[in-house]
Amino acid sequence: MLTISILANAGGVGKSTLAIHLAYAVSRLGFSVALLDLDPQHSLDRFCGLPPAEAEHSMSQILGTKNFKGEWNLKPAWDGQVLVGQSHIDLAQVSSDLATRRRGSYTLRDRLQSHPIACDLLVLDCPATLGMLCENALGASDLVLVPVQLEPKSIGGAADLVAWCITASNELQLEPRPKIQGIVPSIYNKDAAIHRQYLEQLPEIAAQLDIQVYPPIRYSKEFVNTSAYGLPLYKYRPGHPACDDFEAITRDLVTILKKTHAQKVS
Amino acid sequence: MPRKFPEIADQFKSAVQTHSQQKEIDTLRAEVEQLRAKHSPNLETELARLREQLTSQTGEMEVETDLIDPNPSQPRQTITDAEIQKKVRFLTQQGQTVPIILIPQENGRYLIFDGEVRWRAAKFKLGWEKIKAVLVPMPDDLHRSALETFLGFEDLNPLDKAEAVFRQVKQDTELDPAKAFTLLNTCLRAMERSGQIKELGKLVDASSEAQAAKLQSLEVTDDLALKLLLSILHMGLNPASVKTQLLPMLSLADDLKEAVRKRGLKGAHALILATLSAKVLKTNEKIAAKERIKATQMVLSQDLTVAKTRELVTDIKAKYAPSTAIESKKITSLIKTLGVVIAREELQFASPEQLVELRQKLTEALEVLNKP
Repeated sequence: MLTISILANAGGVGKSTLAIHLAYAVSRLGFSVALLDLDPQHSLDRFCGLPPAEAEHSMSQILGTKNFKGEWNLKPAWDGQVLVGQSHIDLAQVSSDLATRRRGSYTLRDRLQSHPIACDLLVLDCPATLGMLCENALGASDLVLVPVQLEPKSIGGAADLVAWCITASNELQLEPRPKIQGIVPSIYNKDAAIHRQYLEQLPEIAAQLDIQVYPPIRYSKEFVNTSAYGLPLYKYRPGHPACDDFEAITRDLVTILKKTHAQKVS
Repeated sequence: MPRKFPEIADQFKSAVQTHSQQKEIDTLRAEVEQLRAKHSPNLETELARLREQLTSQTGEMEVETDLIDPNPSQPRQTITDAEIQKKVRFLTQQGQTVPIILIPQENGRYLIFDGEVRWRAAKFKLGWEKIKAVLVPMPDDLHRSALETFLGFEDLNPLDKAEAVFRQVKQDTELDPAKAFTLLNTCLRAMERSGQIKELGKLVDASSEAQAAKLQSLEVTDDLALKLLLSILHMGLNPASVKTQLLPMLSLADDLKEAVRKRGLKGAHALILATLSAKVLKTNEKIAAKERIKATQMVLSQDLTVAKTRELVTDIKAKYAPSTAIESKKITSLIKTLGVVIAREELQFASPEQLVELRQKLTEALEVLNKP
């Protein structure tokens, strides 16, 4: 199983949009995909067209209980294409409880190790603050994707996030360290001068960090519309040009998945 | 014409810095790993061959993890939790692909010859009750010695030990003992000045990664010095004691070398006897050697302690170059203290009152010194 965290140190930069579109795009290519919502705002419910979950059937139970027996309670979304672990507002409280618990930062990692989820790709949608829940995501991840809106607040957040990934991986002694797979410019408006200028400057900085920059995900009102129906754009407006914006990342993930699969077989 | 916005590079400055530091540490780690591999190039291939041989001979078996004990003479100094976690991940994903190698004991239990990390991961983290293994009789030849190259040099005399250590240093750094000595001196002196020498000693038991990272933070920037210190630490030795106890062994006079090698003269005694040199005794080498051999004979036959050996040597020196004044211990220690105070720039931490008093005392001392 390959685990990827969608991390951004700022709200409203398109984390959940990226998470569900990647999950759906990879699942369409014949891989089994699960999606876990680690944000107490539980906005994935809406994105996936699911009614809110009870606390005891949500991620707050999974991370909060001391006696986990493997009941992940994943719900099928979009005709069962993707399985979703829903979040709950109580996860905020659980997060602060974890801070004082033994191996608190490793809770998700330990759960996945003792009761693996049977899927090829696991996508973790993370909250916008770099706290206990993000540490849990990092500790369980092979890869990290950083969506960033090309505006000062989100750019500053992304800079802090990159440094945080390195120091947190060291403090948690993660071996091998999760790799930042790429920076994903999101909500990109080609008519905004600041977006264009920042997009131009980003590759040079990313090169110094040894991180690649993916082609931007455009701003489109259809992303907002499709979320009202709880569908990925692929299902709501198949053939919409914005669907192609996820292609490069999807292709990379599939390449990595095939490689790990080949290693396993040999 | 759209306006120009402030550049974003500034915001990423600290991220870039953190990243490049990490890259350097990773490079060092990789080098340390290579050193480790170089340390015993044959061990891994040897183990692989042995494993294959055993599997074809005796076949793989499942052994209860509770019946297995770690090898007390485990060649690897430290097993970090990170390593065990890595193994846990591997075992979870791929299962156990390679059997561990066990030595059956007379009490029905097994000693680990190879695979301690896998066993720890399986038993303590994954709760496996059994683990795949092949058995090997208690080794006493090739593999045993391959392992013992790792084990430190417990049963070597100090001279052989020094030679072995500097053979290894030469292999790791291409420095011959004389150059290694100079370089070691230079960087240890720098560390003494900055008070970091204690930190260095603590590193002996650390993992290779921690050693490399720590040396990095102690600002050992010279590549060769870093390699040298890592090479020594890697053998489980403290660079400071290598400098004071092992290096001088290499330059002992031949008569003393022979006594160390063949007659069991101990290192500390040899170093004291070595001060009976032509230069110190203000005589020629032939006479100095005669005195040394006589004294060595006495030390060995009467099994003298270090203190008694020192007395004996002082008496001999007094015969040749009678000292005109008796040294005062108080003055010696005062000179030493002043040296340390100056080197560590401790004066800047003194209170104004202390400084006034110090100046007064030093002036008085100078007056006494300057009296004809």
